Amino acid sequence: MSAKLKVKNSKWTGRIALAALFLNFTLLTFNLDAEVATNSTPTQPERAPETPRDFYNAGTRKLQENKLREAEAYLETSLARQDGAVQPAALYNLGHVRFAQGSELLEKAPQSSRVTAGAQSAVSYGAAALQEIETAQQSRQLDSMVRAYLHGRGARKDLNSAMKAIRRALETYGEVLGKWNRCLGDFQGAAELNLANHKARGNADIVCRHIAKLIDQIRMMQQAMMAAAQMQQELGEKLQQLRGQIPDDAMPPGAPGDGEEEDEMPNGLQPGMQEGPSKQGEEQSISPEEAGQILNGFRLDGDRRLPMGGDQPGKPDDPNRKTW
Amino acid sequence: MKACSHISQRDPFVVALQAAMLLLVAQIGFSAGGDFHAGLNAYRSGDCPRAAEVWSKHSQLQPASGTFINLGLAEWHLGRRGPAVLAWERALWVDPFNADARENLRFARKAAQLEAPTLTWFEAASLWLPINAWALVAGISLWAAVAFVTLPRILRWRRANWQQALAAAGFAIFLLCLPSLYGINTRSRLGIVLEKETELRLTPTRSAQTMMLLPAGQPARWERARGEYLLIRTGYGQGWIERSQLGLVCPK
Repeated sequence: MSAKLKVKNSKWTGRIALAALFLNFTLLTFNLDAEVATNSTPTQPERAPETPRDFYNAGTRKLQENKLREAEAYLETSLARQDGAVQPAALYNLGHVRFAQGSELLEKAPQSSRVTAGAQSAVSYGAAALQEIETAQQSRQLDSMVRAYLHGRGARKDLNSAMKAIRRALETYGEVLGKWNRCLGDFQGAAELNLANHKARGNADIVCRHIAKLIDQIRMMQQAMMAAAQMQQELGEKLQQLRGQIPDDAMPPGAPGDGEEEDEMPNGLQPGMQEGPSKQGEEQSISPEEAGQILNGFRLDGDRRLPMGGDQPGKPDDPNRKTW
Repeated sequence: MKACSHISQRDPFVVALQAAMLLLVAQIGFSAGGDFHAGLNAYRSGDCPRAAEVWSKHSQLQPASGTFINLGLAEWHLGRRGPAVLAWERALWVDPFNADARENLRFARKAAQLEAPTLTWFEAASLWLPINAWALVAGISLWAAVAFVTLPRILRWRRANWQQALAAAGFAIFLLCLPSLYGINTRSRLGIVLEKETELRLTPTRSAQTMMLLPAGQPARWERARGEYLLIRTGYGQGWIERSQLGLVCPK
C-alpha cells in the first residue's frame, strides 16, 4: 500500500518551490515531499542549535538525512522550549519521524503471516501428536507409548519455539504500535494547534488506517499464540498421563524432569533411544566418528594457553636509533 | 438648604433598600458563621466529606485562615493531598503568620515527599506582612509623602525640616514596599497540582506526549494559558496541564 505524507515546510522565509523540486525522497512505502529548508546553507559549518527554531531546523535536517533518532531528539527539544510559533511545525515533523521509526522497526520484524503460519503448523503437529498419544494409551503397547511420548515431546518443542517467535514478533509489533500511536498524537496535535493544517489531519487518517491494520495483525498473532499455548497445555497433561503409564525402566532419559525440553537430556539421547521425527524433512544419519569430528571442530579454547616468549628474555629496541 | 431637607426627609424607598441590604449582609454573615459551625460539627462527627463541602463554600464567601486550615484538615483526612495543601497555602496567603498552616504544610510535604515552592527574595519579603498590610503601608506612605511635599505649599505653611524628613521617609517606605508588592503579584501565580498522577504534557493538545506524572500537592507556577491548558513550571520541568488540574493559591 502506498500513501503520501507531506512534510511541512520548515523555512521561515522563501525557497519553498526550489526545495520542493529537489527534496523528494521515499521512506519505505511513503513518499515524503520534503519542502524543508534551513537557515544555514550546506557549505557553512553546522553550529550548535540554541533557539527553538534552530532545534527545529536541525531536527528537520536530520529527518531529511534519515537520522531519525537525532531528528526526534532535536524536534522534541524544540517542542520543549515552548515557542508557540515553532510548535505546530515541529509537532508535524515529529509525527513523520515517529512514523518512519515505526516503519523501520516493522521492516526488521518477522512477518506476522509467517509467524502465524508457523504457530498454526506447530498446533496441527501437536494435534497429531495428541491423537497418537491417545491411540497409544488405548492400545497400551509399551513401544507405541514410548514413541508417542517422544513425538509429543517433539511437538511440544515446536510449540515452544513457535510461541517464542510469536512473542518476539509481538514485542516488536507492540513497539511499532507505540511509535505509530505517538505519531498519530503528533499529527492530531499539529492539526489542533494549527487548524489550517489539513495535511496533518490527512496524515493522521493515514496513520489511523495503518494502526488498524497493525492491530489486526497483532490480534491474529495473539490468537495463534493462544491456540499454541492451549495445545501445549493439553499436550503437557497428556504427556504427564503417559509418563505414569510407562514403566520407569522403559522411560526415555530426562523424562522425570519433563518440565522443559532442553534440560531434559543434557547429554543428548542415550543409546537405544530415538527422538521423534521432525515436522518436515528427513533426519540425516551420522556415524559416531563423524559426530566426534564435528564436535572437535567446535571445541572451545578454554584450556589452551597463550605461548610464552621462550627461554631468553627479549631485548628492547635501540632507543637511540632514528625514528621514522 | 435643599441638601439638608433632602437629608432630613429621607426617601422611604431608599430607607427600605438600605434596611434590606443590611439584613442581607447580616444574613450572609450569620449563615456563613452557621456554615462554619456546621462544618465543625460534621468534622467532629467524622463526616469529613460534608465538612469539606461546607468549609469550601464558607471559604469562598469569607476567606479566612481558620476556615482554610480546617478545610485542609478535612481534605487531608479524605486522602486528597492536593486540595489539602492548596487550602493550607491559601491560609498562609491570607495570614502569613499562621503557625498552624505552616506546620501542617511542613508535615504534609514531609509525609507525601513533596517540594515546597521556591520563592525569590522579593516573594520571601512579601511574606513579612499580610497582603492587605503591604497595600495599606504602601498607600499611606505614598500619600503621606505626597501630602508633606504638597500641603505646606497649598496651605502656605512655613517650610520645616521635619516636613521634608517625613516626606523622604514616606517615599523610602513606599519604595521599600514595591519589591514586596511585586512579590505578591508573582506569588499569585503559584498553584498546587490537585490530582495525583497529573500528566505534564509537552504540547497544549488533547493527544499530547506525556513528559511526566506530577504528584498531587506539587507546587507549580503558571506562565501562560492556551485554551483549556496552562503552561506551568515545576521543579521537574515545564509543560502543560489542564486548567482544572491546577488550583491557584490566590484564585482569580
